[in-house]
Amino acid sequence: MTTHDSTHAAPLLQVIDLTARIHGRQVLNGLNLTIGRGEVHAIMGPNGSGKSTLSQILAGRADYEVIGGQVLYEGQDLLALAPEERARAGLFLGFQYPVEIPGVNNVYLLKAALNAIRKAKGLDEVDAFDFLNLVREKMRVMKMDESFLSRAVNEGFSGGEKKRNEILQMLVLEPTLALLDETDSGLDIDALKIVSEGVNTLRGANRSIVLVTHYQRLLSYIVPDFVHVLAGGRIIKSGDRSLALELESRGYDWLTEQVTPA
Amino acid sequence: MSAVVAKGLASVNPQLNPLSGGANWNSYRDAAYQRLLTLGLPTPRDDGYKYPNLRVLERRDLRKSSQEHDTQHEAWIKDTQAQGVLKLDSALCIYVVNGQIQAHDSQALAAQGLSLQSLKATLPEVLPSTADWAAPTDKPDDRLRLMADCLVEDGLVLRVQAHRALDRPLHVIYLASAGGHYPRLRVHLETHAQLTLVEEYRSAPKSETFTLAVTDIAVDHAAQLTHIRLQDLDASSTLLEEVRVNVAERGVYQHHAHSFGAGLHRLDLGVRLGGAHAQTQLYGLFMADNNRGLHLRTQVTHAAVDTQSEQTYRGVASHRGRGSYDGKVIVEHGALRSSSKQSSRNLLLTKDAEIDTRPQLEIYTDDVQCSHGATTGTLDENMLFYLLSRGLDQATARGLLTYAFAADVVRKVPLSAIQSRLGQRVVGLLPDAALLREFLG
Repeated sequence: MTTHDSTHAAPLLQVIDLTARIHGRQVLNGLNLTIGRGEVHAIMGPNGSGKSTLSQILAGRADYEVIGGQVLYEGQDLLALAPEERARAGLFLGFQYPVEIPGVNNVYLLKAALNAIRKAKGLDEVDAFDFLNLVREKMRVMKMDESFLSRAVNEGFSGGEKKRNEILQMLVLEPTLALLDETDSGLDIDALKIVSEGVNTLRGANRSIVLVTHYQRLLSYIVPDFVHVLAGGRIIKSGDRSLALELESRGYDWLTEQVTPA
Repeated sequence: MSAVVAKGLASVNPQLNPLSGGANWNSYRDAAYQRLLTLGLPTPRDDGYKYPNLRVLERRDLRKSSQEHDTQHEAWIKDTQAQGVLKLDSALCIYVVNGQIQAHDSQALAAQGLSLQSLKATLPEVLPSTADWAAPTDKPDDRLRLMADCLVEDGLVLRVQAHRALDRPLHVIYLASAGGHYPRLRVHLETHAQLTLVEEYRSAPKSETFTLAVTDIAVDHAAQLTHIRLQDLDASSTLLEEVRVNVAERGVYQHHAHSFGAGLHRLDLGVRLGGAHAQTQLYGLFMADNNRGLHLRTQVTHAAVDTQSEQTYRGVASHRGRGSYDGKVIVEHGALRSSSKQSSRNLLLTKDAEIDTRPQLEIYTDDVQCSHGATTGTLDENMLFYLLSRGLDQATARGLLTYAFAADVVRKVPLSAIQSRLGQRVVGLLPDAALLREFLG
């Protein structure tokens, strides 16, 4: 955490010409993206366009090999940080497929996570009583059952419960940058509303949210400031919310045909 | 036979190790010794002795008399007993110190329908039918048992009367401070009897104890035995044990083996489901860190119709630790509608660790349901990334996942006091123990 002076002047996140591959296959192809503080961005695109790749690389998944470009987070080289350091610096990934971890209790994970982040900020460990109150309050927002407290991380959760748990974690950890990877997939309309309300409670001038999604539907509940289309491993078009509506009526073909190399 | 081998064998000679059991017992021991001389010590090529290599037996004098008692080690025993650190509040406790059964409240035991005698006291009764000692599954050339027969000095004979259920567990604590020990335990649950038996092995630091233990168990009609075995010996100690169980019609035998300590530990468990509807559940965990060798072998024989067995084993190895699970299930001819499940999952925490698994099925009848699976691998990368992405550091995340892996079998232990002690023991082995303790609640 150096260069504090510049952090507020610079955008929160700058992805510059990012090129990456996995198992020898190039999946990002000179991707550029800038996220300002307090902004909500939606990244849309067809299957296999690199949407999840981008979230995974930003969160620090080791499987991907970055072969070009850079990522600046609060003006610093994000890619030089280990995944846990990124989390402590305020980055949060809401997983598309949250992992089940039998034997590890939800609440203890949350507490360990919160304390790790607080420690990095030079804060004391959270008081056990205050912590439980905080979790209960956020559980009410997410309409989660009390039994959640005694269950193992995502073990035996339905798809909807897993996604709600991701948002619950986000609400407790209060990240500066939340990347939500297809958080809406597999949700029925009620669960979608709950998840969206949860995300909306976090919106604020100091927090940025990136929604990776296939569908416009989510964006009716969480209205984005910017919409980007990702195809072939880079952003091929950016616009405001109306772009999402246009995509819904026209699909992606009219855009991807323009970028397919001759 | 080389001279070195001869040394290991020679030390077993019953003539050097007299037991005041009368002529019958002595002649039985002589016969066992002669048989052993013919067979030689077990090698990895012998059926059932693949893991571990027992070459260690060749080089050492296995008799107690060859070892010096050390005042420090004896002080350790006194302290351990005086502080009662191992005692469970709810249990009836018996100490066996360097092979000697200590004073205990036999009236409290009798009130519960449990009789306890020393092997010495029952020798005239037990013998001359020495065949009575050997469970029907035993092969005549079971070499470790032959060795134990040559060396045995005393043992415990437990019997729970028919239709009696002990409301408290019986906790037998073996403390060793020097030399060789050859404890013999015989447990008989009469029809409809119930018992929870906890056996625990401890030894003094740097005491280099050697223990060769044989346990024979009979679970009669509709009786239920829950048998919990905790091995936490000093790293300088060696423990080789053989447990043989016969389960009669509708009997239930449940076994929990938790192995943490010793330099070398081998537990060879044989369960024979000899009556219709007999069942057994076997759980085991070993954590082989720092050059330890921890080896669990099971053989379950379905010898009657409608019998059920279930095995869940977990192994963890790190820092040149070695472990194995060698599990055989035999479904005999005519054991119709038997069902058997076998699961062995193993975790290697460092590259220099090794775990061998060998699940085997031998089925000699139709109409059975058997499944088995064995895996050995490293920590799940997806789980690890998930925890890291939440801000946990590497050591905590890895420790947490290792704990969760082991907890799979720890939480099967039906006594909460032992469950939490085991939980603490597992956590104590992991980096960042202080932080992880919180996860135990």
